[in-house]
Amino acid sequence: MADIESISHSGMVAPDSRAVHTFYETVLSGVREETVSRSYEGTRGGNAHSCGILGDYVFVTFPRRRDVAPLEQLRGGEDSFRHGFAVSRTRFDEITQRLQEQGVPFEGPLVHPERGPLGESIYFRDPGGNYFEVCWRRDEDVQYNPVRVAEE
Amino acid sequence: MATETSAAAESARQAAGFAAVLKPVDGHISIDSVAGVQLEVRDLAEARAFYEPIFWDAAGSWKPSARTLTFESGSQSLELVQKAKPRTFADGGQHTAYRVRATRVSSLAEQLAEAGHSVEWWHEDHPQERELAPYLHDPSGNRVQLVAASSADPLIAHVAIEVHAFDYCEYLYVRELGGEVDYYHGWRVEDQTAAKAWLDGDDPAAPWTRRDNPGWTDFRDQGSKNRSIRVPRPNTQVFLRYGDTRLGMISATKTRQEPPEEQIVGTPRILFRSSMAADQAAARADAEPVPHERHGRSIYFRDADGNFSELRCG
Amino acid sequence: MHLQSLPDTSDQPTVYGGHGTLTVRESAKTIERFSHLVLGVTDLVRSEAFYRDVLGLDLLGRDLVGERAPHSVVQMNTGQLIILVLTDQVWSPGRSGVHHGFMVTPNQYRLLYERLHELGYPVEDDREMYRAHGQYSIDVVDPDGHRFQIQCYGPEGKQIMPGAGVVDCGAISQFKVGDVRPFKSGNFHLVRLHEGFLAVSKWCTHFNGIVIYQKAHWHFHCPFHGATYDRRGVPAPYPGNSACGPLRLHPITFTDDGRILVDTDETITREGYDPSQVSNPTREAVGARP
Repeated sequence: MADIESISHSGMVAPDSRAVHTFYETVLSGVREETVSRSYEGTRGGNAHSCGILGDYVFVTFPRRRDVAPLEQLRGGEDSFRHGFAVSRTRFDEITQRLQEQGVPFEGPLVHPERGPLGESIYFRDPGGNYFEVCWRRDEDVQYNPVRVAEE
Repeated sequence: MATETSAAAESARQAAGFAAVLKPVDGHISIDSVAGVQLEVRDLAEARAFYEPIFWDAAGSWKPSARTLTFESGSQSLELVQKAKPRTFADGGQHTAYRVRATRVSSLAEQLAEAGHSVEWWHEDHPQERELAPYLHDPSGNRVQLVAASSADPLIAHVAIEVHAFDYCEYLYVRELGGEVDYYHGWRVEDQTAAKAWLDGDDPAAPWTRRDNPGWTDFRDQGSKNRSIRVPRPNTQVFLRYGDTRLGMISATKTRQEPPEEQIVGTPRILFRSSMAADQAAARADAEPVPHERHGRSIYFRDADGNFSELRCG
Repeated sequence: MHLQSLPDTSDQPTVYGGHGTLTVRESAKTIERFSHLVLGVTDLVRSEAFYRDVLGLDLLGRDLVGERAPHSVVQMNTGQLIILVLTDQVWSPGRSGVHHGFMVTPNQYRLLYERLHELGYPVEDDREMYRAHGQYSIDVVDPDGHRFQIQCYGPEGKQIMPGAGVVDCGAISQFKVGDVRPFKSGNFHLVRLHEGFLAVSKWCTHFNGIVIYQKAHWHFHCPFHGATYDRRGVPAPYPGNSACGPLRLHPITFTDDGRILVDTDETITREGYDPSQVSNPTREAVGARP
């Protein structure tokens, strides 16, 4: 057993932090938490604080620029970071179709080695240039500890 | 002795409705346009004398009654209500923008200044408001913006309100009332950059569009809790389109006492117009958590920060 | 030197993600769950040692997925992975705000805290004052500059907090309708409504932050994650409100000589507001002079 249960959230940057979260909401069915901070550090500022949930993961995005490859490069992040999400194998085609319908360019599917935990992946970028991956997992029937989600 | 919060309470919170996407909900109330504003003034005759030259280009007429005075222009109206101590938010970003023929804006601003009104020339952040425009207050303190246009039809270009609980207010104005996000400011890197010029005094941005308060990381990075630190930042604003009109939501620049919490019908208030039948609008409003009341063909709303609005149906 | 407080012991993970956000089934309709974080590293052996020996992740092995460069895969107990990919140069987040947050059980947090402290990693939490009760966090940076938070939500964040016995709030006559008066002893607000008195706990139902009354807005506000409640302690009915149910109440009694007593050792949890929850004094108590 590992000493760490799960990974829960990431702070991200994007030149337009609200556009990124609108992408998560409209294309990937994410849920908005807030766009303007209501918490202690924000009440003195009405600060832009884009926060939302994607799957079982929380993103908080700050308006900031970082050097990224042109958006046409769909697969990448090996020199920085990339977030990979999973769907069940039976829904993988549904996801690729959804991205096509939403006009989101992606690369793949790429088939992963059978010896590893991943099945196939597609790769795309959010409007801020952050790298994303959606896969199905070969170990999806393994009974790992669940990530606790409300309404279970 | 220690007990857990009940799982039922947690589920109940979720059952209250966790909006997946803050876009107009299916079956939202359909609004045709911002139809005007109802404002409080201390003296109706004084207010009329102030607004008459501003409305010179507009086709319309004044309709007085005992304690109100309305200027109707096409499908829009400015409705003035006499109050001994009018609520006008003179020091905030709340304002109403009236169209004035472009050839007359400067001379009108001069005329108003010569009459003793303090006129400032500022720009705002919406792409249609990047040019400098004159801003002033009516004699009671309601902020007025004059918008240069080819004609004064429709008279009211936009209305702006201040909110604290931004996302809660978006729930009403976007999800329930169907406003479409036209433009937003404060979430882009270039918005942050523009704010720096304002702090340096190089940018006549309207004061409610910028802030200078530091956040926690500013204290951390500057190594102290020095309260004199000023950090330029854009004030978050979202502009919503209803037909050809616009509602601006601006993060509040000041904390002001809201009206009593049980009050739903009040002034000042935004007037919306809808061709939807009142029964239908009321049914949709009843399905949402925003406080509201129906009186005849009007549905009155109070947003999460105590701003009032009225939907005139049918 | 106080480094930071530690959570009460528990093996229970939490339903909350970072920033006190409740992760909900609604958000998993299209994208179901988080699978893996890919990170660029400049030395695989060094990074394996960090993630395996310092953070305690399970090392699954090398080159197990379709990455284009040599890589190593480490795993958490939920099956989530970190894929460490060898690269020449890593974009280091610095103070950009880019970071990733681990969620651990309170027992895992205590273990990691001790290990990091022994290994010489800083374990102070310089934002402890901004965290609600039961919220804990340690910052740690990997050898390539990737920034992590190790966080947990301890059971004390959801516990009924101890009271301070019976608090004498003073004479009924001191409170007019509309008053909302804070009491430090026992951490509650005494609210006088048209319909009667309520003693509303200050402990936020999200994570035991202390709410404050904002008279201008007629509501209670928790400064930690922005939960808001009306004067009756009912959460504002908007999405994203962190509140997890109404603020709890304490029972109120009135003395014969017209004083208001609140028993903060007894806590009433409720599903909503009902007028039967208010307390009203007898006519004699109202008219009495203490």
